[in-house]
Amino acid sequence: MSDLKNIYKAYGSLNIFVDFSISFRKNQINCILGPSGCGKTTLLNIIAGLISPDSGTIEGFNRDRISYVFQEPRLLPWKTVSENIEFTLKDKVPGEAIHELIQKYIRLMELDGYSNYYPGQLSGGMKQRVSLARAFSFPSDIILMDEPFKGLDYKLKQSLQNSFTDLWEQDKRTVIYVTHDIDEAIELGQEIYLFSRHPVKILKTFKKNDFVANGKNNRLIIDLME
Amino acid sequence: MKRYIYLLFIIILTISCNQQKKSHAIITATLKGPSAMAIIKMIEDKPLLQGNIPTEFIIRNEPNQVRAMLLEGTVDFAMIPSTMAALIYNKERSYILSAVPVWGTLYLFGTDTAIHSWKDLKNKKISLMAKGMSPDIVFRYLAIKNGIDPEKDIRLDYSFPTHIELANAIAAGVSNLGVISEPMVTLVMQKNPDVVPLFDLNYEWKKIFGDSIPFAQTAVVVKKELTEKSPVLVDEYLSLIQKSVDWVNKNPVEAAALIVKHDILPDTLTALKSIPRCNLFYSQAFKEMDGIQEYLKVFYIFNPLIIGGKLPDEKFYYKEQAH
Amino acid sequence: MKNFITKNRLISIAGILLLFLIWKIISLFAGSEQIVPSPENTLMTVIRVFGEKGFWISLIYTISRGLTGFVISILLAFIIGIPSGSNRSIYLLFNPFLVAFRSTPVISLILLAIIWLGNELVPVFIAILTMFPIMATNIADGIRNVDTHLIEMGKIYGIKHKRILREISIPSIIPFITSGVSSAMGFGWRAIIIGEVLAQPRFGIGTQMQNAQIYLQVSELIAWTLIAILISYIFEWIVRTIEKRFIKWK
Repeated sequence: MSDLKNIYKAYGSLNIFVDFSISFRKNQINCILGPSGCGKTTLLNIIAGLISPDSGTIEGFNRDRISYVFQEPRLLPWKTVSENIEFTLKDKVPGEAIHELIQKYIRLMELDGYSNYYPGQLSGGMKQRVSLARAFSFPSDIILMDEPFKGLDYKLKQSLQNSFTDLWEQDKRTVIYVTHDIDEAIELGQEIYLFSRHPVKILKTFKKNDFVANGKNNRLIIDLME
Repeated sequence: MKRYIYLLFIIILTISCNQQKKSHAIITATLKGPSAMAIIKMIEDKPLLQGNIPTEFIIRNEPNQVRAMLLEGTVDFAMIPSTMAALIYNKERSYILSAVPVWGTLYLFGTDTAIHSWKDLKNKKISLMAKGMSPDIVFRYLAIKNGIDPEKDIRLDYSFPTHIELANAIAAGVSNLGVISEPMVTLVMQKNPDVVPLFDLNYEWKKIFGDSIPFAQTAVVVKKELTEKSPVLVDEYLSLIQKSVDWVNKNPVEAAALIVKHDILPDTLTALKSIPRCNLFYSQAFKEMDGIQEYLKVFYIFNPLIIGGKLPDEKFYYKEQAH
Repeated sequence: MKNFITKNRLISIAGILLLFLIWKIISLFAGSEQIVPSPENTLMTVIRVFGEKGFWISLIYTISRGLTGFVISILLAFIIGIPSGSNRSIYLLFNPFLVAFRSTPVISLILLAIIWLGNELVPVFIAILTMFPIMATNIADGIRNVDTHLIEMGKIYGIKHKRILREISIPSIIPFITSGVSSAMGFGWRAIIIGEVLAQPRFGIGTQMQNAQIYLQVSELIAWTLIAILISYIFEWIVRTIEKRFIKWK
């Protein structure tokens, strides 16, 4: 288990987290579902070490082994697809293995033939594929994902979600997946945490099985989220 | 397409218009200085030539301004440095030399009273107007003849390219040494009593060349066309110049009053003091041809480009009908 | 040869020929070699000028001034630009100076500089005053525009600080630098030549131009102007080529 205990975080007079605690089960997809702007991204950034909480403890997270898939692809425009993936691997994976690793994930993310393309030449969907390839090829224990497929059209979203789940099936790392899309959460998550507005509280926790043939839970989520 | 034809037409029209400036008066361009002082009587009287042709006088501060008018062909007579006259003749053939009324008026002056000989100039900064103009060339030439290398031994400064700027710089003490012509010397001395004339360049010139090469500083040029069409008028005009020069030398007090009246100098005392220093003396160009050629040759040897690449031929010198 | 003669190239060549044709027509109507010399005579003059002793010395002096000015400008631009880009207060402090220098007409700077500095130094000084504000501003902007999202990504993936600098910050700033250099180059050369014309240092293209003016050598004046244009064009081309190599990813 990876835990955050008694987290306090405020921005000025805005209290995002007040004595907030949460535990994540390892090697499963943990979905955080909540309204926009409630602090989900802040939580991810605290886990990633980008920001520090005002107080509280964080256990079970190895800061050196974190991948992050952002809402924007965040690729380096002056590096090619394979160079972008190589960028994060350089100090973590020994030289000889890098090339093979990059090729593997390029294949898995269906980016064959685009190794030497620059991000400027790629579509939004393809760029996000590269971001996923980068995240998965990186030797991480935990993958943080912040609304990675937001704003993409339905078909593209489906395709990327499938690629993601395919990848995950082969290599089940801990994933913390933030979204405000109910369907997406139900689709992908093994465990779903419902967040309130700030100061953030966990309203309810669902397990994947709770949704099989149980329409009542969907309505419940919608009500709670309002 | 039509628009382009109109544009071309306008360009052609403008250029050809510039070539033909018709005027009924005889226009003279002169410089604010000894040149204007020499013909001050004419400037005052505005005589009528051949009974009915009026004269006009344009007075400018800088030789380059007069040069522009000569290149455009808008004046009939002009008073400019002899070297400039030769340059324009060699390039354009439009104006020829008719008389020399002003001889050496250049001085090295300033507040640096430690200068007694050319040797004392070593490592000093001397301000000159416009590089390549007569004062610059004359000074450098005299320096070389007196054992000073103008490139190495002294610092030549051209920051003040016009008469007024240089005069102000010396008066204000921004520069301690300068080369300038009368009457600016007297003028600056009135402004700043610490300024004194140090070398009379006319005198220095005579020391080297004796009387064999006169310092034919300023020339009266006349439009070649005019000398071909109306030689009698030209001769009449030149005789008026001679009369004016004689009159100024013989009646300095009245001349000084006119000089102030026409804004050449600010006060009569300055004018009176500077008249004798201006070396006004009328000479016919043709009569002085050999001497003037020798004078021009000095510049030619220094840098042939100054007078246009070659010595002018004898057609450069106007021959008066009478006298 | 086929590759060389493209349609666009032909149109450009036609344009240049048209220019010479118009020049020739105007020179015929002007009537005098002193007012508008014919293109053939000017071309002959250019060739003659190449052979003259003073040519190479003047060229070398002017180019060295240009390069010296350029190097000093870049160094100054980095010294001022980097802190300005990294720190808002420093930026606000320097900005008025940079704007003032950028906006002041070159000629005013030259006239002042002649009084303070003396002939030989003026052209380089002016070139620096013209070039460095442009480059400094560009460097500062480049630094301020580094994408913080990318830096965050680097930090999260545990990239060492040195690599973040080398592989994220610097490549992001380079297009700003090259564009600054490109603009500055054009202004810089013009400033040097004007500086030389007015300050009259012993050797230089501007000095030659001024001499041609004094001695009524119109052909020479145009010839030197063409040479100045050529130099400016060559250096701009060099910078553009280098620039292309750096930003091929755009």
